[in-house]
Amino acid sequence: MKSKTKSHSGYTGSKLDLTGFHLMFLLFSLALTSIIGLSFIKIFKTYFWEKTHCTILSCKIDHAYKTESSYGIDISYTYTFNGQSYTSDIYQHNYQGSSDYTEIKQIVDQIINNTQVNCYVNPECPQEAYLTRESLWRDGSAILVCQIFTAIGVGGIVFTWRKKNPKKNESNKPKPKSALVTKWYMKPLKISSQHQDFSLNNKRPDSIILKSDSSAIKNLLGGIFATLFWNGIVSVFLSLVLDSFEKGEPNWVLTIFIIPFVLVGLYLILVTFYHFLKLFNARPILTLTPGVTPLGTTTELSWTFRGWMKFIRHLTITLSAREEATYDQGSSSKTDKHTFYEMELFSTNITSEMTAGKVKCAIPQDCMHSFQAKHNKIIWSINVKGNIKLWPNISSKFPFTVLPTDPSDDQ
Amino acid sequence: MNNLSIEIQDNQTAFTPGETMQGTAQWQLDDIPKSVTLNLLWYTQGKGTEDVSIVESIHFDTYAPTDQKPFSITLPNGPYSFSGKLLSIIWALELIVDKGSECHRQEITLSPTGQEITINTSSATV
Amino acid sequence: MTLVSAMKARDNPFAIHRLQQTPYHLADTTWCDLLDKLESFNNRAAVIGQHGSGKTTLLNKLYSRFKAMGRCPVTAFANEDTPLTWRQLKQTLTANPDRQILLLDGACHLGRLTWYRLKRYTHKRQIGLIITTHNPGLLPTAYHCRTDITLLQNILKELLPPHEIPNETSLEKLYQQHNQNIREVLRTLYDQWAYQKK
Repeated sequence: MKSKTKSHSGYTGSKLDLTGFHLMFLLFSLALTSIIGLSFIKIFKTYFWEKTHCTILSCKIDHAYKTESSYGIDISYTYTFNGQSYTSDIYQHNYQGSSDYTEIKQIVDQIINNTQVNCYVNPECPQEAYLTRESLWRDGSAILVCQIFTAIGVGGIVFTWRKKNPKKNESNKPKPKSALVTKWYMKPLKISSQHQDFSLNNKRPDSIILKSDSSAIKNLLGGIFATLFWNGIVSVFLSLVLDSFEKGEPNWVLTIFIIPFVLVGLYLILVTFYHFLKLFNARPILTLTPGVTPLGTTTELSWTFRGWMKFIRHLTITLSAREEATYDQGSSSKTDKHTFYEMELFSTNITSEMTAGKVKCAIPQDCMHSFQAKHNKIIWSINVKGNIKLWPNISSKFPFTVLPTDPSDDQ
Repeated sequence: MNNLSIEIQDNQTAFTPGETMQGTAQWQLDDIPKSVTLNLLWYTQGKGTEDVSIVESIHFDTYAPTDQKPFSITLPNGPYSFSGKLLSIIWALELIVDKGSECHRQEITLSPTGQEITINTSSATV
Repeated sequence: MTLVSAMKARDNPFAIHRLQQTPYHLADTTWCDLLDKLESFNNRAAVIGQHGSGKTTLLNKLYSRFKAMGRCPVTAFANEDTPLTWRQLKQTLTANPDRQILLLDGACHLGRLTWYRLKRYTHKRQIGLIITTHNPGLLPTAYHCRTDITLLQNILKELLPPHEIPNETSLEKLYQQHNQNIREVLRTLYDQWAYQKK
């Protein structure tokens, strides 16, 4: 009981680290949201102001508005509200002007030529009036982008405190000692506390539906998350660059600096789009009968597809086995894969043959069965490949367990 | 001088899955051992970090510096002794005195054919 | 399809267990000097170096040396995929009451809080703490692991018979291709040897 409490408090240490990290995201997004939010609320309120007829007293182009290279609108207008006359010189709340002379001239001409001009008056403070209202779109979208960071912060904190320590149970069990662990190597090798079950007698399901090792939706969601996260950050700097160009004072250093980041962002968009298209691919459903496949036996593989099939030009189903070795010395882990067995089970370019079918799948006798340790694996899988013209191809791997030869079958 | 050995019946080194292995564990030590253990284990070697799994462990109750104890272990169905390009799976019996201060290890083969499973492969690496 | 008989993984001269058995080649110092230097830091120091420069291998060798000296070292290992928690580190230390030195590989992958707790815990109990990390700063630097082509050649001399050692030009090319990361060079050589007929 004591060790249980200890282990919990120990694990809390790394949880606090993660919480701190995600809290920074959360605080950053909350600060940004409140700054933009205040501006948004101010603009939003103007939509409830009263539309009132006004008379333009003067309207001309301001040639040095805020900076020397930007143009603004120098305006003065009078309006009557609740029987009292007021004058205002504000064109729009927080108006930044423009470096485009033609654009400003067009607005000024429009105001001068229009006989029916209205302004928006704050009913609570009639001295305050704007000739036009600012769009809610810019600040609204900025707030939405900020919510990505909020989601990362909140999600990260929730995930950190909800996830269980995977090694908790393992570490509480007494581990057997081996001289291999203490004598040959410096590092304590991880002794598998769970032995892989190679018994053949307990489970003999009639059939088994195979699961793909990748999910189109998961890939898409991952792509969306990565794209939003990356481009969300890049967009902040990109808007600064665009602003500098708009004002006619291009920030070339930032522009050159940001180009590779924008390219990565575009690549992520393309990858996400690729996964989005893949979502519409037909999904293979594979069944093995019988569900237990020892070495040297033949099992029946049946398949059907869910979704559109008619665009698949060529379908191939193969049986393969591969070794996987993960090496985690130093600061990174690397996994090498090597396919040592590959057998084509089915191949066709006739659509009617693709939609569903059955094929015998013989597992070779003199081969290696499935094996799974922490760093080393032998994985058997059925691979489905469908070629589609001008569309992402179908490519799914369905791992399954090949057991050692059944000793009771030996004749 | 310390001397540890494992003698398997008929000097057999290759076994089929499910077969029972019988033998004797022997030791001649200078001091009285605190513990003597016989492990049946497999471990991996190759390109990846090594994995080790002790499948069966027999602890001998002894206070004699020189002794021999018979043992009998039924081998599991797998994993088979295997060698590929990236990994080898090796089975061994290991006699350990005092948590590894003295150790003797003897490799065995576990497979239906009595031979280590090897692969003939194309040169494709994914 | 051409079938090639692959060399057994266990026989590959570049298999992990073979690499771990090769002696470590110290540059510009001796084992005696290095151990003295560590002692002068109360065995609380860092081994620094870039990826694949031999930090872990050096730590392995230090483990053997400390063990032979009866200093009861214990080890812990962290990387990007397996960051250690404070609980795991504490368990490592408490499970070995005789320990005098903790050899920690990949200290830069610990959480900040975990690192401070470990530093404080070991300092209070006068436990040595020798770490590997990519950059200096966590503890005083005792040794900087650097690689060069001569080091690679020396390692290969340990692993291969003389007639099988690749010539200097191809080694240099391989070494530069892998950004002077000897670990990666050895992994590539593993693949090259894997398809040699045995």
